[in-house]
Amino acid sequence: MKDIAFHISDITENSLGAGATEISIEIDLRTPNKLEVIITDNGCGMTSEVVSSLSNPFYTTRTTRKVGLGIPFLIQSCEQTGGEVVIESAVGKGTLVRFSILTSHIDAPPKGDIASALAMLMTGNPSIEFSINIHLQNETFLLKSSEIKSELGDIPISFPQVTLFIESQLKLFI
Amino acid sequence: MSKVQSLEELRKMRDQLRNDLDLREKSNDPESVIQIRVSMGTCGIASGAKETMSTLIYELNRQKIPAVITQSGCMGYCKQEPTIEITMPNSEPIIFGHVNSDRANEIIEKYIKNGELVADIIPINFSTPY
Repeated sequence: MKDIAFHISDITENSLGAGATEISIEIDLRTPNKLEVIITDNGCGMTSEVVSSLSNPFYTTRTTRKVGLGIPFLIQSCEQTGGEVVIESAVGKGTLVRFSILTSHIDAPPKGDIASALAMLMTGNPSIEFSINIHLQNETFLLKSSEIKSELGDIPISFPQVTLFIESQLKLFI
Repeated sequence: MSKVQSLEELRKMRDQLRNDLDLREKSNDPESVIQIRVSMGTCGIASGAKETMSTLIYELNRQKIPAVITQSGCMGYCKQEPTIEITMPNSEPIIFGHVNSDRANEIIEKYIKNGELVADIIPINFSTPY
């Protein structure tokens, strides 16, 4: 995983795999030199046994292959900067993944293009209700799939032009 | 709490898209635009699927080719990532493997615009266990 944007795409992909219909992505930039991301979904959730085995790269629910690297990669990227990964989950309710990266640390991965990753998640998964929150020092920016969709009417959200528009809006904040 | 600042811009875009694509008549037929799915599992993302998707979004918009671009999970072709699936109107889907940005451009030029096939097509006509 080259940068933080990749991790956000990857963790959100897990929510999609869990059958979530609503996904909230919060990006908190209020603490200097720290980037915190909270991804919450209403997917199938996990038992505490499953949550405790997530850090093991040889644990996966997949049947097609024997490794699951997304979470172990994330833990590595966060912990090598002094940040952390916290996962809370309840079966039938959903999952929350919170991770923090100390961006001033020499081992911190680059931020990458977070605006583009978020725009692609939102328009690339048209049936999912995304809610994106970006917390800055003095303000909070909120963008919801439903808001965009109601403006677009019968035009699908997945048109490239829409993706580029959302990306340009997010770029003002991140 | 600030919201999308330029909803007006979004409405203009909607109207323009409607005109460009003549969707009003075609909207009953989802097959009328090109559908592209980019595989975005851990394997896809780690091999650069994000750049591939960015390139597709940028180029298709620039060339005004009517297409919708969505994401999918791992399609099971981890070895050939990044992979994309293209469904042309009224055609069978075709999966292309090893699609970096350059190859994405090549696929737009050759397959999407001219219907020519390019290398690294993954045969999907046989049934797979995925």
